Amino acid sequence: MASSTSTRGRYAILGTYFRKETALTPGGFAVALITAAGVGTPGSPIAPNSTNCRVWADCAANEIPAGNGYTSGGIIIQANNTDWPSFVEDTNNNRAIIGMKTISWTASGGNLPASGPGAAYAILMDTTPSQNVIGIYDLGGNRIVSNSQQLVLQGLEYILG
Amino acid sequence: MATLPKWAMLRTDTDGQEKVFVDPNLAYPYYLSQLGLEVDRYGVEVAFLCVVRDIQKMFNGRVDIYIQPAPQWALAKLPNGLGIAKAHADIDLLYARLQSFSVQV
Repeated sequence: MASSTSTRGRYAILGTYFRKETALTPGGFAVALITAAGVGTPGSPIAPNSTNCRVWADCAANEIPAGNGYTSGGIIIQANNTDWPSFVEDTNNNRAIIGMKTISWTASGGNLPASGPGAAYAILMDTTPSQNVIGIYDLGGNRIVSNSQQLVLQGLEYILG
Repeated sequence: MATLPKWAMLRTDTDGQEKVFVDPNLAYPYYLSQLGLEVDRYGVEVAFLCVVRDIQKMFNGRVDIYIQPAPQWALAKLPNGLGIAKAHADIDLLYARLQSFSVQV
């Protein structure tokens, strides 16, 4: 799964660690789904990237519709080692990697998303008032699951390197 | 928890956290050999991802991992091969293939 970090996410991580900035310190995180319109419009899609998708408001207009198992704002991820179970320090490549638990949505009452072209990106954001975007994950196409099927995101990671 | 393979050891790190210390000199050649991959960025990244997945599996997901220093495995020093991005794209398929093999202990 292709992914990228956002400049705001990196900024928030540094601000939290080095300056203990209250405004940047999240109580938790969320993963929400957006369509291929990204930070553009359905007629003029623009793929979200590290610089054009800094806060949730940059792409929230293209969130998949609520309903059939999807709640607006996505799934809440707690800031703890249950929801972030994998933590790797790779000395040979000067990087640290934190991995999220597997998350899923189950279509209920019809297709998920309930309408539209499907989910194309997962957006990891924090739950500060700014809703800073931390990571952007390309789902590799427009994903639609039918009633009772699951849309599963496995192995979402954040790599600092 | 399953018995750790010989390339991994549970130890308390300098930060006081209990972690699985991985010796890449033992672990990476094992996975490269099992999957028939070259020593390049693609192969070594695949091996790294397999290490992480296998350790996570042994600890039911929640585990901290420390890859011990072994500069010869630095990706920057290796030929590109199919590249790091391709390793991430292929890992699900390759890891599934690996499941038909037994874990080295």
